[in-house]
Amino acid sequence: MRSDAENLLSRLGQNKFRYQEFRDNFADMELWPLFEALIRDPRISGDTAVAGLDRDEAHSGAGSAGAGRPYPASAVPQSVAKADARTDGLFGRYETTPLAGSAHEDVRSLLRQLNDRVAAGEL
Amino acid sequence: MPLIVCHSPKGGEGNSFVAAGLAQGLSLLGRDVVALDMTAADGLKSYFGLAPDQSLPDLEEEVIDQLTVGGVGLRSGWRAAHQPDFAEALRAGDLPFDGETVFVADVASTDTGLAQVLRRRARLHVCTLTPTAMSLAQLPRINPARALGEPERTTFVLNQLDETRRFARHAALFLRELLGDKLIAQIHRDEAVNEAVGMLQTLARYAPASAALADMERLVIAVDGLCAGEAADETVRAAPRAAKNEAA
Ligand SMILES: Nc1ncnc2c1ncn2[C@@H]1O[C@H](COP(=O)(O)OP(=O)(O)O)[C@@H](O)[C@H]1O
Ligand SMILES: [Mg+2]
Repeated sequence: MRSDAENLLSRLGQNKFRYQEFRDNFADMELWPLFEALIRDPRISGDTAVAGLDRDEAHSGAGSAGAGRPYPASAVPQSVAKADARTDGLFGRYETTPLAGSAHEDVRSLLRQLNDRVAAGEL
Repeated sequence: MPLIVCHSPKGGEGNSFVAAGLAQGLSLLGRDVVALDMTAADGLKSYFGLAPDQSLPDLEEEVIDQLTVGGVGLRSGWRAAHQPDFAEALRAGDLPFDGETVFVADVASTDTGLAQVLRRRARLHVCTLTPTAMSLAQLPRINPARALGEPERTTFVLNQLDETRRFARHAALFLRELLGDKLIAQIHRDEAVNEAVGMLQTLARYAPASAALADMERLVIAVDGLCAGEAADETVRAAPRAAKNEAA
């Protein structure tokens, strides 16, 4: 619990309030298409999009803990997916263009590696 | 050269707030600090408890009565920075960015040319972001010439973090992974920041127990450490050059 929250709760009387931390695990992080676009952007990544992870992977030993674990079901946040399905009406013509397949795979493997590193307690 | 350039690729992120907090904090650590407002908006002073009608002395003006708040000198660098020969003067060392005084410059987001010129002479570039999609979308513009992972004196601050928002949480995780130790601090969204300005008080005075101030403290310590490290590096880099000059 953050110290400011703790102070406040003790001043106000703990039992009347419920403390909740909004903290996600890496596994819960949704891959927003914007994140994908950023990872693929050469101005951010240079040429090798996952260079940083390759480097780290060398230390941790590739495909260690949890490598076989299925990737979180939705790569795209559900709310976004729902919005995409509604393609009629005025804004219907702005259908999203699908991302290039290979880039998509890169990002998926990147996230899978992130996942593994979280599971291994490295992040 | 102890110049710290605060510049974000987008307005409204808290660049001025961070610049002011850094100046105030470094001063509390015992540094001699000048906060330099290089924006036309002239908003930096608001984080020092000053009213809109209070004008800052010009960077190049000889002033007898320095304007200081809590030990931090305040100057406007906007006029000087928009003189045609500013870049030349900066190169020639005609500007007072030497010695012991730490200059913390607040540069407007749209002033990318100025930011670039200053960044070349700076010990550190502090780029403030917010965990919003519009802020993240600006990331590729920060240093288009090179990948974010390459060594460079750019550091990032994630400001206005509100963990009750899903996108903000995800953005924070994403940025932590993308930027690694270049992300040197996160500052929570805290209404006390706004209220302090409304009270014409500094945040430290108005809300000493605020979350944003505690976060700012961590940022200040990180920046102070990095500046000290850079200073040591500069000495090492300068040494062979000095030896060469002597030999010549
Ligand atoms: N951590 C924070 N919590 C709440 N409000 C903030 C925070 N940081 C900045 N703000 C508010 O956001 C707005 C923009 O801040 P400012 O420092 O002027 O941004 P910039 O210089 O990047 O345009 C201001 O109203 C400021 O009070
Ligand atoms: Mg500003």
